[in-house]
Amino acid sequence: MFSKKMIAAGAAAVMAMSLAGCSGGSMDDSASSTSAASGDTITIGSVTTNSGTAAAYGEAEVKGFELAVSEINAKGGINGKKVKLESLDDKGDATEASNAYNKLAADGNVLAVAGPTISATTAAVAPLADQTKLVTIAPAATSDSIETGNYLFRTCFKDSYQGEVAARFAAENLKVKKVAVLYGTGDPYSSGVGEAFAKAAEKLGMEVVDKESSSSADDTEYSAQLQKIQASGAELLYAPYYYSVAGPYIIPQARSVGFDGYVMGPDGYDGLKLTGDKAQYDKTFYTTHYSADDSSNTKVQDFIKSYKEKNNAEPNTFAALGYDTIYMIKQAIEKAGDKATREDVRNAVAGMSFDGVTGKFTMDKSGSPTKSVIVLELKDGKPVYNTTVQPK
Amino acid sequence: MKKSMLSVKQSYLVCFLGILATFGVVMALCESGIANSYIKGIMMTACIAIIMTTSLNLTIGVLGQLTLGCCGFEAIGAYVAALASKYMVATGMLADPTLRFLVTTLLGGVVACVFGILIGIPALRLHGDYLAIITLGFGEIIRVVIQNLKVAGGMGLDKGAAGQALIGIERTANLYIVFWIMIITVVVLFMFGRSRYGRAVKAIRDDEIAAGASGLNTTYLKVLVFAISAFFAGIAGGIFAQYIGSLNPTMAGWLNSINYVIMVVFGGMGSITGSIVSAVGLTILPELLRAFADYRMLAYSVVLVLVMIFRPQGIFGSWEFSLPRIVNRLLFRNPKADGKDGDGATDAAEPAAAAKTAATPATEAKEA
Repeated sequence: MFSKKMIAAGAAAVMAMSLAGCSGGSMDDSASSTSAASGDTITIGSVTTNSGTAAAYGEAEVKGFELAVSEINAKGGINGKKVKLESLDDKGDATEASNAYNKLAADGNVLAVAGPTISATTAAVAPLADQTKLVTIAPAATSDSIETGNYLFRTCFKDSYQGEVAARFAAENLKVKKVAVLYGTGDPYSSGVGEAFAKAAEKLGMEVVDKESSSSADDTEYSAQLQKIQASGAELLYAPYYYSVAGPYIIPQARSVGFDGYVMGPDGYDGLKLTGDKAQYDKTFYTTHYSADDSSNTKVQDFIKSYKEKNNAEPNTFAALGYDTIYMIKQAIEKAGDKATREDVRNAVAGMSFDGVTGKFTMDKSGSPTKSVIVLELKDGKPVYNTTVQPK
Repeated sequence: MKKSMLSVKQSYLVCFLGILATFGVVMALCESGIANSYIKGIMMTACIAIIMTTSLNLTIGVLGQLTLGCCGFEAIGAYVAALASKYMVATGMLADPTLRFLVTTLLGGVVACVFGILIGIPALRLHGDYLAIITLGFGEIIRVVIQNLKVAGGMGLDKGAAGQALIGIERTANLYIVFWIMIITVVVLFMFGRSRYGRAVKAIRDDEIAAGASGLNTTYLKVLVFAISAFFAGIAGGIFAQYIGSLNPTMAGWLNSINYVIMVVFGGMGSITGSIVSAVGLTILPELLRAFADYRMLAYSVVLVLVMIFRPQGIFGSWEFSLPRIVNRLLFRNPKADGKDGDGATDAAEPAAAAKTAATPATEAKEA
């Protein structure tokens, strides 16, 4: 009896092995990626995080997509064809994102995808994009590690680029010589931006007098590290953290240990939470993608106006990035022509130059834009446009 | 009692045919191209969820201990399999992708199992809420450790970066193979539940003191169950890693674990049928509800709430689906046996029942 069971199990195993040879079980089939521009509509898919903790980001992106699509359709569409947006939610979960993405990829009418929202879901979608040869533009996934250099692109600048630009701003505009860095080691965003800043600062001839870290990016107590930074004589503290930590903890604690130099941060400072005396937030700068008072860019005011008309609210960074993403896809499809396939659209996005609400840029080889960065300064607790750092 | 029922051997055969038929349906869908990559992706996700819930069902339903750390073990399995696969690709070991997938997945399961034993020995001294909290804590520890490991981020191994998502894992998971792994998991877990060990474990669930007084080594059995559960969670993780192709430390978090606990409770604690149906159902449900767009998560929650109000014991309670039982009823109409079966109680004396696992995947076929 027992040996028979073994034989049966063995037979089943052999069968399973042989089955691997059949094509149907493989997850790697590149679907029906034939010409998609046939018919009189162009479908653009989107996978964003509309529920869960990052829902606010994804919803803003979708509003940006919708605004751009309705504008394009009002002006006659792309190559004379109406644009349809098929928007799917991924809950911020990698599995859901890949399911949603597969759904779009299997639909031969989808010519390009906007999304996903966060870096974790983008990392899951990236190999699928390459496999299904479907161009995918992530509006706001800034993590360095998601690059494939193939079918995945993004609208925002990447983390390390942001750190480099911040270092340039510190050296050229603030003219500081001694800088200190504080970041959370467990958090990819915080450590990625922090390391990039330190590296660029040394390259630019500034002295990194102190490098401190916290174990996570959502600690609440930084006094020990900040005292060392204060003692090191740094003129500028670069602290890449999120708005929920930098605002209520890092900046007030830095001021309370007597640090009165500049504080700089990345786009995580958007919507900084303030506590106590607003004067302590003076001399705080941060880099970001978009500013409503950006006087150097004429497209911004038009965007704000039409966004307000449609949604009755002020647009934020994510809406702006989403809006630009759709226009990038439009520009690529127009360039690829009337009978564009998915591959053609990809080739049109690669190396493209684009001028949008979030700045001018060209796409680099790895699929990330080299673009202008907005620097905002906090005055009386409110972010005020300071300057735009152009790419080198 | 002549010829009133299938013999044990015949029952096995019926079950095996049931599995083959299910597999035939899956294969027909895939080979004919009716199932596109989207459908196949959902089937794959469902298979992974089935392995997770049935293994978790062993701890929660059969042993009766609430654990919230199952995704910690899944993450261990996933990261081990992913890094092993990366290492093998880099060094040229095991060039055959199918073999590599099987070996790395098994390795993930074994390592998760070792961690299951290590964590189980101290943790299982506690019961109920306390055990839930301690396993939740271990899950979080695993998450934080992975987050700070340099080898487990970015491109992995020597090119790794701490805190980043692990990317670029070879996507070698094949639906057919994963299907069979899922079947083996379900069969093994079902047979374990029916075995001497399984009955001993159920005795511990019902009254630990009485079980101990009858001479059962309760600590050993509890750790054994915990280890088996961790092993299959690790297997599920290994498959997941090589299906998705990128890993994030957050997968070890308690939120994901609770998701699987929901699936087990929803289907009925102690019922493998229930675990399978709810794993498949709750994987498909959010996809079916995409039509409702913004309201889909609301609808999902409403379904959960309604089930818990009207069937607090879960959809299936402790009932198991049995293909041989159905065959028996159709072929050998015996009013007495019918009456006995009719109440739906699982009856250990019924020989056919011993092999009824087989029929359970049939439910999946319907949904897929």
